[in-house]
Amino acid sequence: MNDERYSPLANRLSRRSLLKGLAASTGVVLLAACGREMSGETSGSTGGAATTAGAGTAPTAATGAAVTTTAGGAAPTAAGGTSPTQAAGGAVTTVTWYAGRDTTGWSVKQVEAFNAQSQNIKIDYQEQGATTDDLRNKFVTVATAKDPSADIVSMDVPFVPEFAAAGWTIPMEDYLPQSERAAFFKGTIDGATYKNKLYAIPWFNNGPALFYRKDLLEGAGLPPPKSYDQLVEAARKLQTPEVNGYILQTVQNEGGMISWLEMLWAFGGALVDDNLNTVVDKGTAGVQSMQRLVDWLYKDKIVPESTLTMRTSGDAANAFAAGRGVFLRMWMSQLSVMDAQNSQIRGKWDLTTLPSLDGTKPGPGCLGTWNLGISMFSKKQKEAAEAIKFLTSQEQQKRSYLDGGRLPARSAVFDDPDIKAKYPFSDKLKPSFEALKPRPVTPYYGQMSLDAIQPNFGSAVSRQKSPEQAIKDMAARMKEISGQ
Amino acid sequence: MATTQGTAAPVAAGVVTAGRRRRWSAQGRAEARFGLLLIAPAMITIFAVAFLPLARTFWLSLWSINLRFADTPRRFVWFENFAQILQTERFHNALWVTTRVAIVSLAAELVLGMLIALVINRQFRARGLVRASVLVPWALTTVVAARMWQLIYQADYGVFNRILYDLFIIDSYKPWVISPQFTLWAMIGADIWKTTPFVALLLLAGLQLIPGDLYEAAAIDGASAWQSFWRITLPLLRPTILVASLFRLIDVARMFDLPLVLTGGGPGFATETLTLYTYRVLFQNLQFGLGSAVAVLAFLLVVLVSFIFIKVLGAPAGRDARGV
Repeated sequence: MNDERYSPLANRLSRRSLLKGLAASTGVVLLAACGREMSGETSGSTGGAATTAGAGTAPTAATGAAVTTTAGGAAPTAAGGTSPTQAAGGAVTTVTWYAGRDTTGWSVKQVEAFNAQSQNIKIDYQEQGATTDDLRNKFVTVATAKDPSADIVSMDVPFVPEFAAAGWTIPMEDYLPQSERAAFFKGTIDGATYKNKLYAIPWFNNGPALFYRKDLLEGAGLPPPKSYDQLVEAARKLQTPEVNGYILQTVQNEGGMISWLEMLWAFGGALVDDNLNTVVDKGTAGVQSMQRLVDWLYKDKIVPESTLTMRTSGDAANAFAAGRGVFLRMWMSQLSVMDAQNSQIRGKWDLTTLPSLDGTKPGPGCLGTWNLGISMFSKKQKEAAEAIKFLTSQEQQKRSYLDGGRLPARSAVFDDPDIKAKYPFSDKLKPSFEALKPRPVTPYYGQMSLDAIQPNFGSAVSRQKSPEQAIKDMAARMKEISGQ
Repeated sequence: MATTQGTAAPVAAGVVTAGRRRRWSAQGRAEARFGLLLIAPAMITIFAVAFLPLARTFWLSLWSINLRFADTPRRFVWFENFAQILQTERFHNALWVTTRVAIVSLAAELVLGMLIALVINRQFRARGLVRASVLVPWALTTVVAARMWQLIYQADYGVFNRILYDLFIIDSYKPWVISPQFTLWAMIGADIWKTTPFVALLLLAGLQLIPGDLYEAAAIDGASAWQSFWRITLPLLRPTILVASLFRLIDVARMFDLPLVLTGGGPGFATETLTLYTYRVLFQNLQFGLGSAVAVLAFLLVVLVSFIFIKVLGAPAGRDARGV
């Protein structure tokens, strides 16, 4: 009861100073928030929709149409005099595309091209977080709630069986008839198929390559490495305090884990066998490949420890493009980064296939096709299919490769003279792309990767567990998950 | 009793005892009904947003639900989920991580928060500015702060590496957030930075409630500053410390965004907190029954810890306050 009489006024945290404090801190938060730009404008204007602009030559800068179907109000028509809410072909339907992060910016251009030539369907392109895992989490949340807000969804190879088994995506059998599938790489079609049904259409192909600094290797008189030993030797020889020997993602997520998976395959191992039984702990390949990677980090020191925090493939590609690496294991989808405006290595790089253990043939790469599928809960499945048809067409896949550096899922694109002229290494890549290996095709893969493979991989490369222990724990948990 | 009588007093004044009693009950019932009516919106809201979800989570925790497969039926499994969780090593790990963060963060924040509170409780020029700037870390969105710390700890060009390197404490840059020895400490460091201002603010409020003449009297009796801190400030601050600790414990128990953004719970599961684990079981693996069981366990633990805290720290503090 004494409280009020005492406590001198001057000592109190006055309301004014509290307000001042709050105002100051809010300012900081606002400043921080303003640093990020929105990727998709919600511009209502899709002007120029009536022009028959060819793909890739969209005249306007309207990114990703409007969020809602009120986009109809913004579709000017050639037929003058009609109500602005009525386009020539009727009302405009906007389909929402749940996509992964695209640092090259090409997807947005593709959307612009589609929106420019389509009268009554517009795509609203929405990236869901920075990593593949983010996209998966977001779509899974929406799908388990049976929410119709996603129409098109970008799918990494392991998503296909997972989403199909859960009943979240529709079969696409009718949208890409059997006869048209021969135009695609067989591996990409297999990767989009679950239990003999097609659940997605391959959008662009993706696989790894070994990028290297042509100038540095030629300067030392070294050929591009064919085996791991040659790679290590060259990396050791050429690396300096500023330029690391070998950059590859070793972060604890899907991207980092794949770096090891490709080594596991090169050592003759596998995660599961043809009958989906866990075999990663059989033989010595698992432990040896993991040990090799750990040695690269801490013993040979050709792989910098900063790769342990490279969450996106863009992080690793940018480090190489900034001139900080001699070698880089990278997805071909990052091709355009190397010759981008701000690249320090323009004209100083080349690429080849991944190394293998003995160097007699190219090392196995991981199939990283991205597919487009349709949500089971979408209310605009027909329109979504129309959009997908455009995005995966021969013409668009050629454009994507030429202008966006994205490898085609349609093998015929590789034989196009324009492509051969621009990318002399295309012939070299085609066979290795036909040999890309998928990750285990099972609906359990998603959980296996998140709960068993990634954490144990992460524990090993951060030296929390020995490679032996990590492989043992990984196998035990994989068996638990798949119920073996 | 006293309060009810108090409110009824104006009407009941001057009535004989017997009549007063009867009238009071009639009056009282009407008042009670009215009172209930008045608190009904609040109670209904609390029921709807707190108790219903809690009850539903508990109900879900008794089922085996896997949304991963469209054709898997849900089964009622009683307490099987709890049995399974209690045997899961990853749950023990999450519990241990959370406990360590709670103990270390809380201890550090109380000490640092006390220092800051004592400083900004004094009279000096530009005190308002200092008080305001102390609050900045707390006002930052956790995700923003976590991204910032990620840059600070960055392996190649992080400022943390630079400072330690320049001070000759390390001889080469280190990737702090993925090294198993340091990652938990890196996260705890970020957490302390972020929430110390909150503790300091609460303690400052507590300091201002301590009567100034107590210090005067102590000074006249020849007590040193040290003595008056231990004998006056600390005992009188006890209720505030209790509240601050409780808030922070509950905060740590639901710590999610900092590990998610800063470390992703890695390497391995080295920084996976209880809430992050719950989220992954629920929303990544879509095991709704199992995930709900983890959530219920986490809830029970928080209740238990809070209860112990209030019992142990709360009671004597009340007596002391009355004693003075």
